Parts: sequence; structure tokens; C-alpha cells
Amino acid sequence: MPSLIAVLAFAAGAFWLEAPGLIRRKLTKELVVFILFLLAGTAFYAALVLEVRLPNLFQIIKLVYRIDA
Amino acid sequence: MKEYTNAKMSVRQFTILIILASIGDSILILPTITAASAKQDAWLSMVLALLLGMAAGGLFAAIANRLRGESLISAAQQRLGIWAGSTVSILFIIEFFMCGLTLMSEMGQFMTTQLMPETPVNAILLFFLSVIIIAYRYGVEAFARMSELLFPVFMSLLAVLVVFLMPQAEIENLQPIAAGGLGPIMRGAFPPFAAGFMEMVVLLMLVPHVAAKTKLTRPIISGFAIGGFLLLVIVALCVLVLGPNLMETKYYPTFVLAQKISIGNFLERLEAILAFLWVITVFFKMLLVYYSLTSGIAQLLRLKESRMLTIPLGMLLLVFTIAGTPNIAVYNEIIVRDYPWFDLSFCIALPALFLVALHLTRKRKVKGG
Repeated sequence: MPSLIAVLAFAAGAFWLEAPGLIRRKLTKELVVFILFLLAGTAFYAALVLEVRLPNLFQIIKLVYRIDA
Repeated sequence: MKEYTNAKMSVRQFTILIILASIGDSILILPTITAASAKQDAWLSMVLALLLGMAAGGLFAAIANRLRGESLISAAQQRLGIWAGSTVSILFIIEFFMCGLTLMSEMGQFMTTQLMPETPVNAILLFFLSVIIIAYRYGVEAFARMSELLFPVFMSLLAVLVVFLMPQAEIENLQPIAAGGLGPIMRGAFPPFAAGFMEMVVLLMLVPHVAAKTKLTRPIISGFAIGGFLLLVIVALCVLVLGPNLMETKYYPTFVLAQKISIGNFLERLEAILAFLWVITVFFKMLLVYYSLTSGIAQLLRLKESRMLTIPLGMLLLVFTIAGTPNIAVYNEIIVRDYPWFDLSFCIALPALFLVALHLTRKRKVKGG
């Protein structure tokens, strides 16, 4: 649980760091993209600390490129 | 992307970045991978990889000269149209992301197995990524200048390492030459060609920032040649000092090599020098990959700036590095057997097709007046 709180706090910190500047300069598209990426990053990081099994991207390469995989 | 397109680096800085990034992670992991196939002929594999690398450099230079001040991603979108251009861009971004994962994995593995075994890998990667993000946010000019500053330090320390190891070199370790025929040498050349040269496709993202009045062929080729030669020296030194058996069985033979230095029972265990050299080269390679990834996504989505993507992308890289590297044995097997083919598809075949497409679109434009 403390790890999850740390991840959420980190994401909140990143939002606090970036979002005000984007809002002030009226960069709406940039803000939307930032929020989407931050949500994805936070969700995956939360999944990692909660020990949810995440896809191993190297295994995908192995599946695609190895004939005897 | 105004904030970044104005940033410029000199041709010299561009060349230094290519040299440092082409050495990258290869300085530490290549000798063992090459020796696994080529044994005592690992140095011959490196010569072959260097020759292939020069051809890859020629391909990248041909593309760079046709980009005319645009980056790879923006040129793909403008010249190939929105659908084809975006598809090509996404494929390049996938390559940058995967390349970033390999570098992060190697950094984490090396630090936890050799230098800081009791520190959690997450903490090491978090600090490494933080430095990369800060360097990115300072901009291209700052990290290009930093490379110029660190390059003489890197070369001096490498020279110290080579000079101190020379007394321990045994020429018999090179024999017999090509005893197993050309097959093992060619197999041994593929991973260094992939890790050292193919992945340098990232340099095409830096092209708009190079203040060059002439073509970029010379800096790219000379960067590849110097970087490749330094890698050849390191691999040859590993064979000469450690011999093929020790080289093949150790995960980081270059690190063992540095531990072997002993001058008059006074100057010993200089592996910290090697760790420093490795951190410099991996840092610059990761920085170029991270720059390509972040600015590539911003250009693909036509965003006005890319700084806000740095932290979320860092989080994603961190998560997938940890998820993708459950243990060093599985990772190394994939890196040796499968990853070079991935690199070949995304860093050579895809740019070659892109070059053909650039040529055809230009021809069509000329015909159309």
C-alpha cells in the first residue's frame, strides 16, 4: 500500500509540475496528451507495485522473431 | 516544437555524440556475446561488424542528407502522407522504445550484479532515468556540449585502461585464427552490428539540430568508424588478456579485464574507471534514444512542445524494463538470439524502405514540376 500511495503521489507531483504551465499557455492538445500518458504511466506503475503480471515486451520479440519459440 | 528546432549543435558535437552512443552498452556486453559464437576470433567478428556498420552509416547518411533539416518523423509524415508517414513513424517509435528498454535493463543488471547488489533495481533505474529526463529538459545544446566536455575524459580513461592492460596481453590467445571457418565469425558479428551500429538510427532524429552547411556523410561515417574502432580495441583486448574461455563465461568480461590491472602492486583494481566509461556511453546512448522517443511522439501527434511527455514516458520505460527483465539469463538469450533480428527489421530494413520512398516521392515531384 505505501508503494501505491508513493506512485499516486509521484503522478500527482508530475501533474502539478506540468499541467499549470500548459493550462496557462492554453495548450489544450498537449494537456490532453500529457494526461493520457500520465494516466497510462500511473496505471502501469500501480499494476507493477500491486504485482499484477504485465506483458514482457522482450517475450513478444521472441515470439515474433524466433521460429522455434 | 519551436523550442527545440532552434537548438543547434556543431558537426563536431554531432560526431562525438555518434561515437559515444555507438560504443554505448556495447563496451560491456559485446565481448561475451561475440565470444560465445566466434571464440578467439571475436576480434575478426568485430572487424566484420565494423565493415557492416560503415554500410549502415552510409544508409543513415543517405537518409540524413535527404531530410533537409527535418527530423525522421516529421519528414516521414510530410513526404509519405499522413497514413503511410504515421505508420512509419509509429514503427520507428516502437524501435526507440524497445532500444530504451534494453539500455535500462542492462544498466539495472550491471549495477545490481557488479556494483550495488543490495540496492533495489527500481531505485537505480529511477535515478538513471531522472538524470536522463533532466538532461533532456535542458535541451539538445546542453547535452551536445556536455558530450564535448566528457569526450576527452572518456578517451583519456580508455587510453589508461588500454596502456595498463598491454603488459598482460598474450598473442597466443588469438590462435588458432578462423579455425572454425567463416560461419562462427559471421554469427559473432551480427549482435555487435545490431547493438553498435544499427541502433544508431536514432541519429536521424538529431539531423535538424546539426548546424552543417554541407552533407552529413562525413560526420556520420567518421563517428561510426571511430566508435567501431574503439569497440574493436576493447574486444581485441578482451581476447588478448582474458582468452576466449574466460571471455565467454563472464557476463561482463570488460569489467573483469579492468580488475586484472596490476602495476607494481600499487595501481590495482581500476574497474571503477571502466564503470565510469560505461556510464558515460550508456548515458549518451540512452539520452539519444529518449530524445528520439519523446520528440518523435510529440512530432507524430503534432504537439507544440514535448517536455511534458518526459515524466510519463519515463514511468512507462521504468515499468516495462522491470516487467521485461525478470532474470538476466532469459534476457541475455533474447538479446543474443532474437533482438538483432528486431533491430535488423526496424533499423535497417525500415530506413532502407524509407530511403526508397523518399527517392520515389522526390522523383514524382520533379516529374510533376
